Amino acid sequence: MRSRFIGVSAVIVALASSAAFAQNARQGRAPAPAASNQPFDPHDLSGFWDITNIGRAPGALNETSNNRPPMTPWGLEKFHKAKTGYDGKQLSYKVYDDEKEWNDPILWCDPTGFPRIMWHPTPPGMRFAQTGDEVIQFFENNRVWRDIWTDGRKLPGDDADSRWYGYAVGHWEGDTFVVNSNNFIDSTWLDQYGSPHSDEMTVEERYRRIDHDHLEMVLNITDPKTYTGTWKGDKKIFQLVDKPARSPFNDLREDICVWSEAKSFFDRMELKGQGGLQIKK
Amino acid sequence: MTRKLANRLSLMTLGFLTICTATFAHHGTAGVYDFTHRITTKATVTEYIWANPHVQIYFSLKNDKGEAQTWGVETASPGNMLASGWTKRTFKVGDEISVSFVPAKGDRPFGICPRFVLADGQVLGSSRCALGGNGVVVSTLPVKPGYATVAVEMPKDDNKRPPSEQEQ
Repeated sequence: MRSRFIGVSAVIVALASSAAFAQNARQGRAPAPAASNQPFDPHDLSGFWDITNIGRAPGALNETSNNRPPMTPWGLEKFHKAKTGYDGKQLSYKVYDDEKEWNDPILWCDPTGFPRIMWHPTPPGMRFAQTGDEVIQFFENNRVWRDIWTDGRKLPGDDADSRWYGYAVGHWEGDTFVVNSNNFIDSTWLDQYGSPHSDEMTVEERYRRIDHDHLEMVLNITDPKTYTGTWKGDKKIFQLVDKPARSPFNDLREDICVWSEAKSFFDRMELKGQGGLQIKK
Repeated sequence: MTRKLANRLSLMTLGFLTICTATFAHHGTAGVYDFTHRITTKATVTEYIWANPHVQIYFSLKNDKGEAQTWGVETASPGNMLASGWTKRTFKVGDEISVSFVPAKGDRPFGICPRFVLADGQVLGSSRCALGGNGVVVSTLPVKPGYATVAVEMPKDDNKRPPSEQEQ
């Protein structure tokens, strides 16, 4: 039994590895993960989960999905103000070579926000822990967490303070954990290309543990003030890991954006030309 | 196959995924760097900054005129560099190294996509730079004018990277 598990793990690893490199070399999606034969509880989401390239279509950007719906006039006006050097191909409005013009708020350590933290700056680094009344989702980026309350409470209404990472509640539909979130502060970007959102945005995530080592997620964004339809996310596959990839201590790294470090870096590298980094609100 | 080996394979795979993602996650700095030239020369480490947002290494080198200059190169975040086999102790002030990198445009003394040979022979970094449009192979770029006579040979790229901390 043990040696079969080891063998199957090696196959999964090999598939994940080949998937990562196959994406750019071949047409067609990366193969589905080989099933782990180890028994598991489908209602157990706990552990460190690293996102993989399994099932990722060629050309798929590192984000919710390439299928961003058209924007409303309000959304477009906001989108056109975002200035960054990332080239999101059809998702980008303009690509700015001159870093002095960039106004990505994470450059000056504003919170990354949700769901951008799932894809950028680095794909987490994500851990689930479960208690009697909530599922806690931890992220490496800035050491933030989300409380996903499972005690039956309802999401707050419009009067509630908006939050950088919103409010979240979760419930089970069979073996799928469904998370609903709302009340997000509207100054965050949804991705590194500047995709905007309003404080009316709601997000639904559906997680399903498909075998011992793999977790499937679909994340959809609904924001009628900004987009004319629901932004449907691609199916993402996470892999359970003994140790997160970037920490020698079997935990999530402390990857905190520190303004003094960021400013020192930009000043030293003279990336912002005369006068150093300018915060643009 | 032992469990230890299977774990090593897992970590190596994740390391590769991390490196690929880190490379593509870097901001599109097309306007900053000159992806048509390289500088490849001996240098002495003057500073090593193991911090967000980018690990930086500063070193002094000489140009063709014999003038000493201090250059800096940026890499990725400490987390991503850990997965590539770097640590906060990889460089010390005074280390004698060889370095090859893509310099910034104009006269700004900093660069990107560095590859190093340390005094003990350890090689860090790759000749492949995923930035600059479709990516460049740094070792195939012409040497930046003014740095031709101080250019040195670098070892051939074997596409291997040192094991990360978790793999040791």
